[in-house]
Amino acid sequence: MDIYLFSVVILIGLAVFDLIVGVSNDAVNFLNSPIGSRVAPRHVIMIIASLGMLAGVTFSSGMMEVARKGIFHPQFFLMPELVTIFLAVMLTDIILLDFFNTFGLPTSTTVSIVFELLGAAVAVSLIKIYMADESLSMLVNYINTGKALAIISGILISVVMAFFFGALIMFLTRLVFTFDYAKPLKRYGGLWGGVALSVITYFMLIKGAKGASFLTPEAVLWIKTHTWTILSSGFMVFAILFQLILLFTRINILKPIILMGTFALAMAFAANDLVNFIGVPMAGMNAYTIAQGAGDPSMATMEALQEPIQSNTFLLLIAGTIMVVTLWISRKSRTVSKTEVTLARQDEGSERFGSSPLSRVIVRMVYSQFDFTRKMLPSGLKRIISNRLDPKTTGPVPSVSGATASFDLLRASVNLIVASAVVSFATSMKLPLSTTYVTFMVAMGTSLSDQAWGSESAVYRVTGVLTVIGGWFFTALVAFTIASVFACIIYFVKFPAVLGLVLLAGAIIFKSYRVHFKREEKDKDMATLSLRNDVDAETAIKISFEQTGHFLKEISDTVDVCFDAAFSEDRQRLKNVKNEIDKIQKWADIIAANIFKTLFLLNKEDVEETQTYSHTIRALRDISESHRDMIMHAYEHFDNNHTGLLEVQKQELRQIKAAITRLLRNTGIMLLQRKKVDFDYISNQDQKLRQLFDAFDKNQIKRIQNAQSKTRLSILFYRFMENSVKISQQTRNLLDIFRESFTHHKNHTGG
Amino acid sequence: MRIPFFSFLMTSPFDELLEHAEKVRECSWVFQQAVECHVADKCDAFEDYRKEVDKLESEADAIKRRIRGHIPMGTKMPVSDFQLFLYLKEQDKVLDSVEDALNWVSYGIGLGMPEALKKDFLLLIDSVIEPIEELSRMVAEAKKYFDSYSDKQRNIVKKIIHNLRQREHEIDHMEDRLKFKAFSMGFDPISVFHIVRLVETIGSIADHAENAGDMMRAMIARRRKPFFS
Repeated sequence: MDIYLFSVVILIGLAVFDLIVGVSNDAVNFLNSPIGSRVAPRHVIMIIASLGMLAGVTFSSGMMEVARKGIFHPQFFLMPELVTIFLAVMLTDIILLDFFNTFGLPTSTTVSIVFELLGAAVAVSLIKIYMADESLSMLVNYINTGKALAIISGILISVVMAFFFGALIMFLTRLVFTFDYAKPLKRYGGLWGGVALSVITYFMLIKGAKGASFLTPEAVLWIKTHTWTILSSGFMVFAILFQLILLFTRINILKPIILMGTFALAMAFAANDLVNFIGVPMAGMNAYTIAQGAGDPSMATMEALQEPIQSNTFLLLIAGTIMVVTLWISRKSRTVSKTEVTLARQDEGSERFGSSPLSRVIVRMVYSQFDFTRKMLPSGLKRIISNRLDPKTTGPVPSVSGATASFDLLRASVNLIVASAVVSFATSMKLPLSTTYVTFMVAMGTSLSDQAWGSESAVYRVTGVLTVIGGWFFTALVAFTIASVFACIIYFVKFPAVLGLVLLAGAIIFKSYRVHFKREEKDKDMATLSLRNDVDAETAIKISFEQTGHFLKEISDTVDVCFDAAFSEDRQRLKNVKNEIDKIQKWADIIAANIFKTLFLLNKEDVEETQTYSHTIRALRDISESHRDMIMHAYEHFDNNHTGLLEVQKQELRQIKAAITRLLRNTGIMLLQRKKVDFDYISNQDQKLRQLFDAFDKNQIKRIQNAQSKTRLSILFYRFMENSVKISQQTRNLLDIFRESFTHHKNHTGG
Repeated sequence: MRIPFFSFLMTSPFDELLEHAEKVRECSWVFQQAVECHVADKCDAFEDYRKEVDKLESEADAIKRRIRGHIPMGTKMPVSDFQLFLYLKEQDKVLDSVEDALNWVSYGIGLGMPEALKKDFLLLIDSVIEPIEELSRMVAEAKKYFDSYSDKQRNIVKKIIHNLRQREHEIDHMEDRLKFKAFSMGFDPISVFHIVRLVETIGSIADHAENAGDMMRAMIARRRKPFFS
């Protein structure tokens, strides 16, 4: 087997992996709306999406131009150079997309492939120019700069347009239908259904017709030139159909609209984005086949790649099958979908992203703009708008599984309609765009308009959106850089480099799998902490007990490690504990949120109990704050290379540690098992801790006076002691509250 | 040969060992509560504590049986069955000693604890609890070591074992001091016998904790093949 054939075989193998990582990232485009709105059970959504993808694959022939000639001029390259470019592109693509999948960030497979092709082609071109001793200006001959710039600008414009139209259309739709849309939907549902399905049908036609073998070129041309005819006739047919459905059946017309939209987007994804995954390997195969016809394959130029090449239907179907299987089994795909759905979620809750200075500035600016606009509007109009756009008019509706949808069906239908319309319009205008960017920005626009980003969540959501958008620029930059580096390595080191890079990609994917697995387990742990909406008061109290028990055990373990690491001056272990702080704080927040839910579930007669419950929140906060302060200070002390604790200080702190961990552990066990609370033992430990504190305080004062203990060391020593006492005090308070509420509730329920 | 990469293929018995150690630790706290109650002038809850210790002991026994009866065949464990059982036996002996000590405390309910020895006695109990607490930490850290085989993690386990030895040494001294006091303060012979036997039984808790530490030391020892094998 010659080396080039072997490279082509590697390219085909890489195509399979690229399909897997690509689908995992892009599935969010068509799954976000149906999954976020819980329009149907998950398996129904997946079946519809799978059918859409299989349909799209059959329309995909003839879409491979980008890989072959979209970015560079193939006539200036020899077959080995093209194989080098394609190998670099595929390896980069797999690593890059897998990275994004691991962190659950949606990105554009189109942008990544375009920039990878650009990076690798530029690198190889520059090498050729340098070796031929030509001028740098010759680069424009090699690279299809016009097309590349059009793609980049088209994508940037589509992002802005998608957000703007998403927000605007959602605003107008909500004005008409309101949040309690059942009645208005009966009245205007036919019209809405007509608009929705005509847009979606046109979208399917315009995206699918191009490659459909059963449509003649004349029919395709007719579709392209008769936009309004298709839209208006579609509108009339579907409007009548939906109005009849509304009049004579009890079917919620938004459901078929969303499922149809899901099918359409899945089809468009398979039809257009398949090129991003298998276009490059197929171009590699074509290049190899063409070169075999020449006298010396390694010197064959690639003009023939400019001619249209019909794709093999069998290969497309295999690719489609891999995509469908990936869609069903990929866990990373779920992580990506989760990010988008969570950012667009209507209700509050724990947020994945934190706050950042930029997001705070943006939120403040937008708030002041809103205030200004509000002042400008006449009060009557303001009243009408606020009446119609009040999200509180309807509560979250649990789905069949008991879980609540992240947003309602109306928003899901707007997401699909606007995304389809923007993509169709851009396609008909021959503007390149990224479906991922469009669907993401539409989803964010509609959630903004729906007031999903309230004052409680706006900052975090904006940080999330900025992170995702930042990731898009990162995609372009990294795709270009890594592909060019890989291309250079493969160009000079040849086959060993290919093998080495394949192994590197394998190792990175394996590592990312483990990282993703760990993150997933962590998220699962956190998710199980949140109370479901369908629990009763008794269960809610039981869960609160258990969670607080686990929480105290965790605090005990980390405090234990913190003391121990400080004794042995182990900076790495302190760093590991420091990394756990966020989790602990989040955990405390979740327990506090659950306690609020428990308050909500308790009857009005339980006001006394309710009051004691609210005190637990303060206790939890104080415990997590003291815990944080202790760990942060210890870490900073040793991170700044300050001196370690004296032997006598270690001896004293060892006793403090024993008392505090014992107290925390015992309280944890008592809450977990809800066994008879032996308050005296906890009380004794607390008492002992205070006595130790007093005694050691005196010793420390002596050490300070004798200049045995320096200032920083004394501060560290006191931080350990004070925080331990604070934790102990609050744990005792917590136990007091739980003991009372437990007895109280038992009396109530007669247990 | 130890290859960290393949550690995920091995079945680790350490989760269950940790579960057992946690039970021992929990039991020690109840023991401490029982002794504190006994030393106090009025103790109504002593029997409750005893029952609680019995309950925890039987739960720990169940875990022990589960570990012994479910050693997986065909999968490679990070330590040999023999070492594992020896360790488990020693960890279980800690619990047996705790139960023994509690029994001795109960025999002396009528005798009470002389006022002059109360403080030292409570201090001894408090000190004995510490090595038991260290045991579960040691198992947790050892589990991490067998997942990674990192030298750093091994040193952490070694340090805990070293602490166990130190604690045992300190407890031995405390034990001697208490025995000396019991003999020298002129108590009646039955009380002296009771105190001495009780103190020795309590001391044996720390001895078994130290032995468990030694077993663990053998488990984490680096195995080197003879040069010419």
